[in-house]
Amino acid sequence: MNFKKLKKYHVSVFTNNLLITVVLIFLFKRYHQNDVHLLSLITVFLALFVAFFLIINYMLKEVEKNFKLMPDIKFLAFNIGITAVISLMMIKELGWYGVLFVVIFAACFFQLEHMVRRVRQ
Amino acid sequence: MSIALNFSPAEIPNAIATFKAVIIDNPLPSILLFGSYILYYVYLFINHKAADSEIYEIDLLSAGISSFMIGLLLLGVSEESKTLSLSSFNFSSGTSVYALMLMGYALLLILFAFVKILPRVVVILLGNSELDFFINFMAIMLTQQGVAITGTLMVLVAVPLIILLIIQRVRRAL
Repeated sequence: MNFKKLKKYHVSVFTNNLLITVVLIFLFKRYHQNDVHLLSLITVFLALFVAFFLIINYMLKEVEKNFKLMPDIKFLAFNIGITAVISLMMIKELGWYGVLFVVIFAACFFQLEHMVRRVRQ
Repeated sequence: MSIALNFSPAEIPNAIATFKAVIIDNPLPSILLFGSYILYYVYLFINHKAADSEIYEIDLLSAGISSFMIGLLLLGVSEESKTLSLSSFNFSSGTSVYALMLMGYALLLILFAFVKILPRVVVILLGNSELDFFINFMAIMLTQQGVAITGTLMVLVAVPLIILLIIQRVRRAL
């Protein structure tokens, strides 16, 4: 990974990943407190994310012909790892499903942010 | 959960006490929330002339999608049957109203990101990270049980963010 070249992109995506992880933790903490069944959420949200990815992909292809859909694997692992560690630290408040969903949704948001920031580089 | 948009200077100590209570109840997420923004602003202040500190239509798309998802998740917070069925959503609660407004706003942002008809100044106003932070912060406050969202609370969050936005725009223009 070339840090000198991707420094600005890294800061934006990293801080955004932290922010969205925190917001998701607050939301899923409340879901856990209310004892809401979370499994039905995942299907709806993943379908929505796929739809949004397709829309963004279409939009970005117009801007950048050689658009890279996937982020650097080390950077992805680093950010998902941080989200996983933070949510595992909150496992009492989130429950196992909560941790799982925070990581999945944060990964989806991360991918979204990556796609947007790649175009702005 | 109640939302009242009245502002009163006398309510400022109460609003500060509400913030304190939320931070004390959620120390780790609060540290991360403010830490991520401090890191982001330190970066912006160092690189204020960088090309990517500008705001484009693509930022409207990013803000729109994240706001839509947050709105959708927020809608489920006030759901009563614990199964997330549409019939049991409480659409009259303050949280649901905020969530629906957020989703509507998000859809508008997505639409404007595609049609690209907005003037530059509006794109900057709608696509900036301060507004995104404000929306996310309000969503966080709405997840807290027993916290009443008042105009004073909103002003208390909004004023520092508006000052930050102005400072950044002025620094960039110089």
